[in-house]
Amino acid sequence: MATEQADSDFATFYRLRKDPVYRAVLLATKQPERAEDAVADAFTKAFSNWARVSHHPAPTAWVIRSALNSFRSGWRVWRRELPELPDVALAAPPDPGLEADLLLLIWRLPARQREVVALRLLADLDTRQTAAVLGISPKTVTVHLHRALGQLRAALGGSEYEAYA
Amino acid sequence: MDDPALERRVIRAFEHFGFDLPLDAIVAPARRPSRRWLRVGTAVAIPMVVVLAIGVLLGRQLATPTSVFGSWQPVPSLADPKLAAAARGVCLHEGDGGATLVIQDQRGLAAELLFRNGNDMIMCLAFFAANGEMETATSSSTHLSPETTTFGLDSVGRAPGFSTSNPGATWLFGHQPPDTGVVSLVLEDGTKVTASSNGGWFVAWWPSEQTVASMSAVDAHGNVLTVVAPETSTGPGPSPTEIAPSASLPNPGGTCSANQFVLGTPTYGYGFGTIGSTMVFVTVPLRNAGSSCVLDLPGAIGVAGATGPFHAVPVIKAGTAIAWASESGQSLPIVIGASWWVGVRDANGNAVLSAPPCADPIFEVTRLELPFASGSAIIDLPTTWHEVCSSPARVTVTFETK
Repeated sequence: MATEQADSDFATFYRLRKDPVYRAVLLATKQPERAEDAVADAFTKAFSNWARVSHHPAPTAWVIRSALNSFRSGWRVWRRELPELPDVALAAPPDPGLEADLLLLIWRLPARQREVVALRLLADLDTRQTAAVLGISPKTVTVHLHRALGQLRAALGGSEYEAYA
Repeated sequence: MDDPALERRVIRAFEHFGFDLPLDAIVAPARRPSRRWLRVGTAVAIPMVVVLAIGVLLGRQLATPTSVFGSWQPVPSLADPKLAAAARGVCLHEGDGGATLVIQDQRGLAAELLFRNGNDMIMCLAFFAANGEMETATSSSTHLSPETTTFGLDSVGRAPGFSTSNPGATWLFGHQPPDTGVVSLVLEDGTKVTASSNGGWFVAWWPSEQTVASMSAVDAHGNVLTVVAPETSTGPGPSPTEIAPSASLPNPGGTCSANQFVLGTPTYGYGFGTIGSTMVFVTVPLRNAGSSCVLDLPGAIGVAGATGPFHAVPVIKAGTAIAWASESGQSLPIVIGASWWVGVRDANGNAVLSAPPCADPIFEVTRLELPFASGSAIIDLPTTWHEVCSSPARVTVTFETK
């Protein structure tokens, strides 16, 4: 009974968080295929450790950190090295109504700014959780997010930005 | 919030990226029986068996053409030298240049190739796609430290199937004693598979998730050596009384012996320690394959790098249970966590906190020695603990009793 409940809890967690986690890892890594592998790996680990992860103060942060570590660990799984995709390729959404220009700008942010945007905005982690995942201070998270948004705002231009806002 | 409107736009911009892997593909591999097993002492092999997550990762990527797996044969066919040559390019990474091909287990159009580079064993299931390009359906590596010569499996990998056209795959390699002939495997569904052998190693693969019910080999005297359920067997290692703990660890108490436990696949995850530190937990399922006994948490464990001696370090007994009545056949995860200082820097890269004291640190820890009332178990970590302090204690041990 307890196991069924745990399975159900994990299923709910997976359904609700898989997309945000993937988007965050994708933005942080810019490699869709390896990001998918890392996210799948991280969720499997979370399921294996669900008794502990479910009581973690930030299960989503746990999964993202595990995924990023998996991505960086260079496991010899599917051993063909995949080059980082050009940001233009990543930024071409299937729906022309989506914000291709904004996507392109986001892909081109410096790595640390991308990571902070990924975790703070796409995964909806708070500043402290983001700091813990990235191993930086909360203040640094705030600074990077501020700079990233400022850079995007400047690149978009005030008038265009106001039109969307 | 810095700029809520722009933040909403950023979030919307990513909404068309979704993660479509079904839940079953996530949970199924985690539910499978573990493929690692415990070896006692330090003089026998401590193989690091294929990472369990491979099942997940390869599940989606095992979109192997039906014709390739359909050509599979239970007895090896003539090895395709072109395939072996082409496989080096896709199976081996930088640094593997010196790897030598030990066995090519060819079965129809596809072959499992076992390469050796020092103590790293690299397995790769490869075939030529219809367009003539080399494809690898699976690839994994196993580190031997050191290798053993007993009859047993060193590594088993398994990718789940999702349809009749994608039945999954199992691949393995192991050791066979000198002067033994062909190794024969019997799968749980009765399928008989003849392994490919060379230089004391054997390799086999098959396009299904069937486990190995038994394996056998005939020695020079005509004696049949058989190992039943080799994927979960502890193997014929020496008794723990013959092996002295390598780190001079104090007896933790209790009544359990190391050699009565089968070690499950270690997994790891991150905790959140104090600001400036990283915390990594390793969870190791322990299945009691012997009689019921009392398992006590140790007061010290051994830690070591990939090479070099073990060092005894004190541990903190965390959780509510420090001893456990382990029933025969029961599995109980033990969680061992370590934390180390990584520092805190401001936006300009300046350190803003100083590191806490850490006496006699051991760096780049990849192996643990876990003492029992009798004997001890060596655990290959699935990750690296970058620093373990001898004092004060920064390692915790916990029974995951739920």
